[in-house]
Amino acid sequence: MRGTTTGREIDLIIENIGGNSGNSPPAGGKGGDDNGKCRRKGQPSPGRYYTGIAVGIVSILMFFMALASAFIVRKGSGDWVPVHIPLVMWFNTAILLASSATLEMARKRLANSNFSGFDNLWLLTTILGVVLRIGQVVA
Amino acid sequence: MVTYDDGDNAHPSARAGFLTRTLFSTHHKTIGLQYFWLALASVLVGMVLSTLLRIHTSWPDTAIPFLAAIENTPERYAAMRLLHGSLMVFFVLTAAPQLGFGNFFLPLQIGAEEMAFPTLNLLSFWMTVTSLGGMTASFFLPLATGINVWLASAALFSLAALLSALNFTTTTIEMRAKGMTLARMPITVWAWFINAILSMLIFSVLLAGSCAILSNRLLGSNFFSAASFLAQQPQNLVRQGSLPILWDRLFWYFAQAEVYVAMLPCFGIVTHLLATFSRKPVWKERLVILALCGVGLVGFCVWGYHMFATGMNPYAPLVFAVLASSLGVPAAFLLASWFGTLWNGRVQLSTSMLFTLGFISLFIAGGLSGIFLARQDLATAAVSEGFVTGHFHLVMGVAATFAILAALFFWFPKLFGRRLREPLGKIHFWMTFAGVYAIFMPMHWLGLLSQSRMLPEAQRIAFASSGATIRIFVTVATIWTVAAQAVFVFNFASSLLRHRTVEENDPWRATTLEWTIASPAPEENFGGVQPVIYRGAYEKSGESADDLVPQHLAPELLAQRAL
Repeated sequence: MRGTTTGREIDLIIENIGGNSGNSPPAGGKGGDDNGKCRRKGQPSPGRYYTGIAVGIVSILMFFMALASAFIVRKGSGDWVPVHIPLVMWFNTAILLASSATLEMARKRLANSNFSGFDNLWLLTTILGVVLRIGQVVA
Repeated sequence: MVTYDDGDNAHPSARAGFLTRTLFSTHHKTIGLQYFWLALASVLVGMVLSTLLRIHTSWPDTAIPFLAAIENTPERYAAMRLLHGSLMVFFVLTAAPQLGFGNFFLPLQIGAEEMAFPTLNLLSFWMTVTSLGGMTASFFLPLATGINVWLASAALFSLAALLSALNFTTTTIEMRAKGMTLARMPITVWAWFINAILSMLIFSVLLAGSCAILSNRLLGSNFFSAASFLAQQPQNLVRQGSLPILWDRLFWYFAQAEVYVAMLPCFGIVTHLLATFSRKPVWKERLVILALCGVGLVGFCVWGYHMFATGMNPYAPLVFAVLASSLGVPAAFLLASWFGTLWNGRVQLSTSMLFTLGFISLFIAGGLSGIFLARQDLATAAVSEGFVTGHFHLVMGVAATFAILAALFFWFPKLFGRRLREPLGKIHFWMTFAGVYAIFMPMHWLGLLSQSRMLPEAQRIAFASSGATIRIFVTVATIWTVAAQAVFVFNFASSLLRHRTVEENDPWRATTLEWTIASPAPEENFGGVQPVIYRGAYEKSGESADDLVPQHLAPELLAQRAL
């Protein structure tokens, strides 16, 4: 994977996790006390992807909160017919949580340059994803 | 965390094909201008629609060519109102100040070469264009199909707005030039930033609501069952004829805050222009930033403000009334700062400044009637369609349009390399200013008159008679105001067609970074050179200095200049 564009992005992310050197902004007028950080020139800013994802999560959270509130209000009405949840859905939920955990572990291994550990956990996450998909079809 | 932009997202080179450079360009200035053209087309169509609506209201038997060609039914009239509102709210008031000016000037003002996610920006723009096409098409389709298409277009616009908001937020956090600390950001950037956060919170809800109602209509789901919900409510909580509908709640969760999405960038623009044209720092600048945050925060929480008549819990109106009234606090801060900035300033009454002052006037006039609407008891007694229409058109629609025009006159040299003609601009301002007051102030009276049905018969007839006269007056004023826009269109078109370009980079002696580069703004924002910022956007060089100092000017250069 290393050597490709994706690999370069990952290298940058690793660098970002490790932290980069701070550099104070020029003083002069007011408001110069915000300690910023400066990257080496000529490299893309990996920080924007982190920020973008964090910001995107806020939108996604609001989207599901709106749907969840609609669900709760609707459930309170008299003509609500509950749906029986198949047992396999609980199994799928467990698989989903497990795949999140393995993906996070894989990311940490990658950050520590443990590429074999990353490969194993990445493969495991992929398998869990396939199992989840099958479980969804069964449900 | 701040990582200074170094231009790695630079725009496509000049060798790229025509389509890549224009319609499919990912460059922020190209996309900003495209949003601007989109808004301009929408506002012109929207104004024509409003004139047709007014003519139909005053003289229903008049044969209007466009209206005669379509089905003449109440549903068609309602659809035309919907199209007018959709164009104005989504594609003018949301698009122009935030997506148009914001896309063009946010990277320039923070010293970046590009937005954080240029491709996402392009995707967002084309989703907006598709949404505009869908909403316009929905007007011509049969009613049931038209509603589905409108809802799908609203969902698409919400998604586009979310992607834009993500881009604005990330760009402001991550792409600032060296020295551009949060405290040194121009107020315009703060306004775009806070507005992006608010947009992210509310457009998600409109997206969810639109998806749910589309699912109801197309997939047979049952999210919004008004009848069953109503049946479950205690009878003493349900007013006669009201329906506590879940869709209403989700919609107003978006729609009430949307007012502030339209207004927040305008607050930023107005504050910025007042300082520039008064040659004074923004009075209590940090208080203004806090007030902008306050507007965003409270605006997010007042979604029940227009639902007093929809069978809410009896305690809920009190909460929303207090929240809605508390919006007056940040609004008062903003007004105090604007007047404080003007106080003893060397005010230059350019057209841009006139529109800025016009914004303040309209904001105060429209805001005062908001006090009546914020109180449940007064709202119940006085609220009618005319009163609300007059209120929100003054405070939101027209005021925001004045801010957009102020920004256009101000930034026109940077957008197109030319200046709009000042005398024509001033004629346009005074004609429009008189016209909008003549339209929307009487609408408040019309709203109060419509409540006169509770009066004895003789008085009711007298009021109804005066109401008809006022209606005709409003329609004539509408025709006058729309006709006045011909002056603007002529000024705009003739200025663009003029060959003479502006020679100076900074004709207004503004201090922010976009004025350090050539006019019109070159393809490469800063020519590959990273700008460095030494001070805030509205600072003087010392206590004895009598003018604002550009943000990029190094202290050594400033000292030399003083000598």
